[in-house]
Amino acid sequence: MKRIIIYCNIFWLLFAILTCIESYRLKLGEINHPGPGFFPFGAGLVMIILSLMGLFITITKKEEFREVSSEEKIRWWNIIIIIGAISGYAFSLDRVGFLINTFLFITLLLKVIEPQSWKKSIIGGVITAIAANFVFNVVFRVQIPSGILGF
Amino acid sequence: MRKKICMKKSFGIFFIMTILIFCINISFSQDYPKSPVQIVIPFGPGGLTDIFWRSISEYIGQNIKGTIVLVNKPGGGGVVGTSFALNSKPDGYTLFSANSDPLSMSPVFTPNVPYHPDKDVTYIAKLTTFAFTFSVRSDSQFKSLEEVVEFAKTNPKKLKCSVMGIGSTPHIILELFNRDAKVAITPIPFDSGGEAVTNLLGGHTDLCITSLSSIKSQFLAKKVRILAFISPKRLKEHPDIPTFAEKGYKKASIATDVGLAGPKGLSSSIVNKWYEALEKTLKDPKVVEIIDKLGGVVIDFKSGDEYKKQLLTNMEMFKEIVPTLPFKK
Amino acid sequence: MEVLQHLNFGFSVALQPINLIYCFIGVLIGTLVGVLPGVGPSAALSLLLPVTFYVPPVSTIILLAGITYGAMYGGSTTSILVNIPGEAASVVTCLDGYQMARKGRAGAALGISAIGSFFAGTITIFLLIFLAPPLANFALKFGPPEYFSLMVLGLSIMVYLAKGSIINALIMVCFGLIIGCIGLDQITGVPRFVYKSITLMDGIGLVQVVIGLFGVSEVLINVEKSFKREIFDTRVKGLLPNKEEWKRSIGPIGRGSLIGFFLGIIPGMSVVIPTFVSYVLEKKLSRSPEKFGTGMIEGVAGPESANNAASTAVLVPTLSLGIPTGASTALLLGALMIHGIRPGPLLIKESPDVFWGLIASLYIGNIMLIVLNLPLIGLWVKILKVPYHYLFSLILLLCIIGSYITNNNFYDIIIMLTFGIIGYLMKKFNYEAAPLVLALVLGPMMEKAFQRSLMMSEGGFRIFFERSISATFLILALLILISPIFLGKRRLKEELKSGD
Repeated sequence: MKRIIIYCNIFWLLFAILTCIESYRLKLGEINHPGPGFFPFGAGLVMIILSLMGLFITITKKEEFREVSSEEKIRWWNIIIIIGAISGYAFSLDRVGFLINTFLFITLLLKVIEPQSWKKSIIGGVITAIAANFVFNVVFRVQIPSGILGF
Repeated sequence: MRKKICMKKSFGIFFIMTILIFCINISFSQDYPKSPVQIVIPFGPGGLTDIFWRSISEYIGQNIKGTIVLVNKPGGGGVVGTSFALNSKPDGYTLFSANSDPLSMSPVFTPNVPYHPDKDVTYIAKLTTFAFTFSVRSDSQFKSLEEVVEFAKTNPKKLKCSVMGIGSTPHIILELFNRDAKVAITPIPFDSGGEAVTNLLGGHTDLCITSLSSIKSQFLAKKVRILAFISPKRLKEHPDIPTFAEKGYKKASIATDVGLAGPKGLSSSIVNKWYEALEKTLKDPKVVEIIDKLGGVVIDFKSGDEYKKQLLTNMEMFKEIVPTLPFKK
Repeated sequence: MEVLQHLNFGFSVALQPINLIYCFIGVLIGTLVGVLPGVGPSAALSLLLPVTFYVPPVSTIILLAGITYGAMYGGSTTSILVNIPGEAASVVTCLDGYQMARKGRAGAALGISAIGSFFAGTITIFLLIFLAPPLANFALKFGPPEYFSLMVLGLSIMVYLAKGSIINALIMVCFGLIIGCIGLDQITGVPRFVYKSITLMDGIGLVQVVIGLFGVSEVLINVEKSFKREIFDTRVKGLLPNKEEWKRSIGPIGRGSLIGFFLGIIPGMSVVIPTFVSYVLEKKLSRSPEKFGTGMIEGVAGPESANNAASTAVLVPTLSLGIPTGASTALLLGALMIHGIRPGPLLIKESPDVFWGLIASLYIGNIMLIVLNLPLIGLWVKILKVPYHYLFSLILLLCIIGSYITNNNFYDIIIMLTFGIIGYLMKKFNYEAAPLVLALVLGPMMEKAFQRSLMMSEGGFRIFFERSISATFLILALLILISPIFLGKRRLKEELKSGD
């Protein structure tokens, strides 16, 4: 646990340094006439100080941290699948269309994350896709792309 | 069990075929436009461009015998929406509000604009121009444009003028004015016309260049004085207020123009259809009345080619003032 | 009193059956729009704009105002139920409202939110009537230096927002400030951190960040383990707040309304900020501040009242100055202009029926909303009974749609997903989301105000101290920052002694 906190602080330190470098390239200007890079540089600087302080405090703490362990294993796959599903949804939305995308998305999630039978997943997918389409494209007329089916 | 599956399968196929036939039928039964046409507005809801299109879209739709759907895609001063529309298929179902800001100004003032107003656009028509105003508070010492110039000449950088954002039309108007009148008035950029006016009223700036609609209610309440209009001709509601052009600042007399355009490769039959529908719409007295009520919107119907020429000419002029702007690499 | 006469007139206008119908339609649409994450009142207003041509001006403004209002009521619903803010302003409601829902007190949270909003609306309408013109003129005095100092004050309050480690919270603030810089710099026109991406040119949208940070990350956390344990304690222990919760909420509602109103009249002020201020104030005044974030009803009552009050207050500069302060007010003005009505100093004189009719209908709208929303609480609470293995997919779908709709750009979904992942990691490693959101909202405003002030003063810093309002804010901010350093030292020492 202590190691994780150290890694976090190192991450922020690197992030802040990167920010400062990029901001510097954007021209800092002078204090009376700040340039575009002034503000982010300042924020990055403060972050560097903070992450160093965090590192210092964590490293010098002597006791062990309470290990919050749980009996169950973390199901990484679930998380990865959800991330993948949402990304897939985003990239194919314009081409495939709202209706089909929603159907595939819901069906996939229902089937995989907390396994339901095929029947339940597909029915869930269909109902949700049609209902969502009705609510958004018809009632609200918000125009989510129709894709290949054209409706 | 197999029989059931067989039945389900065949029913499914039948169902899908019916839908497909239905769809194809619909597409063959009408002319262009067979389905709703998307007009992209590269600005957020509530802006003058947005309100303008929303006010007249029904009438345009009637004249083109189709449904128009307005979609807002704001960002980057109009660049995001414009770019999106220019990258879509030239099938006539995605058009966009061709504003002069993202088409002729952004390619000069904003780096990495992903389109070229000459090669990538099919211009359909120019519709209107938004007139801008050059105003002061009513309790200000300046009663005319000349007085402002006189004061500014002897007090460089002392006068502050609120404008809507660096690189926007009001800002460029100010820079061109500075150049032609040989003065140095400092622009203070704000996020919207409304904010620019508020700051003028509150005394935080001395002058303000903004669209007429943002400042009209203050003008009518006599809280501000409009010293001049920046528009092609004097406005009929305010015949006593001169224009920039009259006072000798013709070059600074640019305004935001609004037109209709589509991505390159749009067929000329579609272009002509729209041209005729738009011409008819802008001649409709009901539409004229609505536009008049908006205030400061001058109908200036021109063909796509003329509009293109105007935008490209302006672009050349903008390139000249780039070196005077702060932080331009 | 003359005002009572006007009010009478106003009510006579507003109570006409046709206007009542428009009011109802408006608040209904507004509620639905508010419930939907990512869809704000401006979307609904822009869709309905053409419709308003055929509708008389008074009815138009009643309809449009009802939508704006209703959206504020509806926005908190998804915040409480599924931790997705329906509006950016409902972010703070997620902090304690959602936790209340998990404990089975969703009904109480929804109830107090509706009732708090009702009282806030009522109080602010009265303030509006009597104080609109002088307040509007006062608000004009806020120029860039005042905004900057106010933002500094706002950030300094953040010190009280942090629940856990202060260093982590401050890092989140810096992170928020940096992210807020992504996009086209409005002052210099230079793209920052954009790397040639068109989507990023406009910056990272608050809606996408908030949906991802709160909604998606919550789902990811819940999905880690199996669903055998209950995500929501669905033994509903009563649909409305109990007596004790009522008592505790009176103060927050009153304070929240005042905060919302007075901050809301400042032109350009985001509705988000008063909600944060109210939350922090309630936390500071509470006898058990450490419990905030686990389901304290004060943390819902205060901010909800603040956000309703602020959205009413936003009408002050719009109506009395004729200046739009945001997308929804701009649309409102546009609709009025098309009818030939000029909001502004002349509005009260030229079209008293519009002005007073609106005031009266705001009040009626408030009543309608509470009548509409209270029974719906039972319905909303039932949604939580949907088994989580189905509910979570719906929640994710809602997040996707909500983040897409704002700009019709699918990259926004990716941004939301990124912040969902960030939010998930933040939850695991003990970083808080609230300071990040506050910084994301305040940062850009603060920077622009700073730049403009320097342009006005040609580079001098004295401008911040020469102007009385600005100087006051800065001194207050300094005081707020100094005192917690002592508290902070104590907390730092405690952190060093115990574990994190």
